[in-house]
Amino acid sequence: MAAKPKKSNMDSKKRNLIAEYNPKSVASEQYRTIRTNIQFSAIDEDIRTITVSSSSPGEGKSTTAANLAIVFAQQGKKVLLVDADMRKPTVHFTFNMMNTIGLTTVLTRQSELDKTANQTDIENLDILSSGPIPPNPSELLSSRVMNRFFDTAKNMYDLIIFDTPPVLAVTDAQVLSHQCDGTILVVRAGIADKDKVTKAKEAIVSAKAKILGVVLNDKKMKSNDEYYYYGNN
Amino acid sequence: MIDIHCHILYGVDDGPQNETETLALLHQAIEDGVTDIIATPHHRNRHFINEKKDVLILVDKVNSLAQENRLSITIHPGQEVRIYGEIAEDYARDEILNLAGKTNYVLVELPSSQVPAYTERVLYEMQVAGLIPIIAHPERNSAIMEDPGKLYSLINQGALSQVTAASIAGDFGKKIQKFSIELVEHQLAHFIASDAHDTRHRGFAMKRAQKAIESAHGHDFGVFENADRLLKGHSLQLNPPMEMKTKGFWSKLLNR
Repeated sequence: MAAKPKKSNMDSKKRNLIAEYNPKSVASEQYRTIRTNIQFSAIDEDIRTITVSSSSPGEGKSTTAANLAIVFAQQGKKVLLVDADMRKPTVHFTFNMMNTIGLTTVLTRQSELDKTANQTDIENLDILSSGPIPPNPSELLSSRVMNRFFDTAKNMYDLIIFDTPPVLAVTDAQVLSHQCDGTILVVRAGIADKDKVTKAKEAIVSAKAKILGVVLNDKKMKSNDEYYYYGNN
Repeated sequence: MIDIHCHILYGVDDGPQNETETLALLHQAIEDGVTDIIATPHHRNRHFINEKKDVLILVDKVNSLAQENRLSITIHPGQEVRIYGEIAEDYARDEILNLAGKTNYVLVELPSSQVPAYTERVLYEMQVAGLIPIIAHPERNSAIMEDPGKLYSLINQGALSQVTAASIAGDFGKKIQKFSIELVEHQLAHFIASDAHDTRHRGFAMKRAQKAIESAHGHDFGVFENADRLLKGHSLQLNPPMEMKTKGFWSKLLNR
């Protein structure tokens, strides 16, 4: 029963994790630029926890979160990428792992973080998938157990990056950004609505969270913008 | 080919009623390229109760029957569990069988015309207990056909699903065929299985299903390989589910 290989799937996974599979690409260089900007954005305190969100779905949160996690890990930091998007969890697909245990089972004390986080082929990078999705995910994120999670995770990792649902869809991202040292807003060029981005920013600020910056995604480059890169991918 | 949903055990549900009928089904399965069948008798669907211990005994009997008749096919234990509130608890009580008697997967059947409000909760509790629910034949649930978003949210929350080979092959009509193939395309169905009951009306259609889906796409989205991986205990090759567009007024009118 030799089914034809599903080449396209594997390719899209590799494309998503470009910082790992093609570290010399322009996109990977951009992720490293974001990394440096994040590190320089805080002067007297280290950024240890980051929320990655956007105003609307499909702007590239998960891709950005995964690649940022990779470039930080490549720098030698011990990184945990957490799938806190309980509305549309995708991290376990990207890293090809099972999702039977994860963030939700840690929060409900059915498993311990050190036994739940998955090691990846990428040195220094661990992944915590979402875990089974409860009917009331927001309650879990704002609960006291979340504080405990932050304490445990910070003891084990230098940096924790949260992939979250869109800010305007549910309150999850607001709740998390409030608890994190900083928030990154991903904005997709040509797709994102200006008013919605402003609203998302206001929502984050009103949650007393700190916006580290905005990642403009999918911006079409003019061909002469990249003339000094040796290669176009 | 591995069949993860099949009523092959005799005298326990609306499948074969005696050894002769089971044998006929086994012959048809082999002809259709099936090497392994997970026997999934109905459990708790109002008419039939088939607890784990009873299924295990009958699976042994059917395996001996196959051997006596020199048929090279292996039967594994399983159940098709009608959804109810205490699946996770009854699993802990050893009444519910996972697929093949050794995996984390449990085949769950929804009522044919609705998705009960407690479905999310039950599937969540199963997952918390370490089980992965596989929803049987969602393409034949009229509430899901009306609003595929209902299935999407269950898949998004970690369930998997299995469409029936005969649906993909077109035996239940063009509409169900089209819908089943769309489910596979949108990563809302992850397995194709026979759900065979008898050789005449509800038999095996695995090869025809494979042909139908490959002729539409040139590949089969890994639905047959997934069954193989499940039985071997390997992790599945999965991709994020995609939302299906709900039909608008005009397309509903045109596609009736």
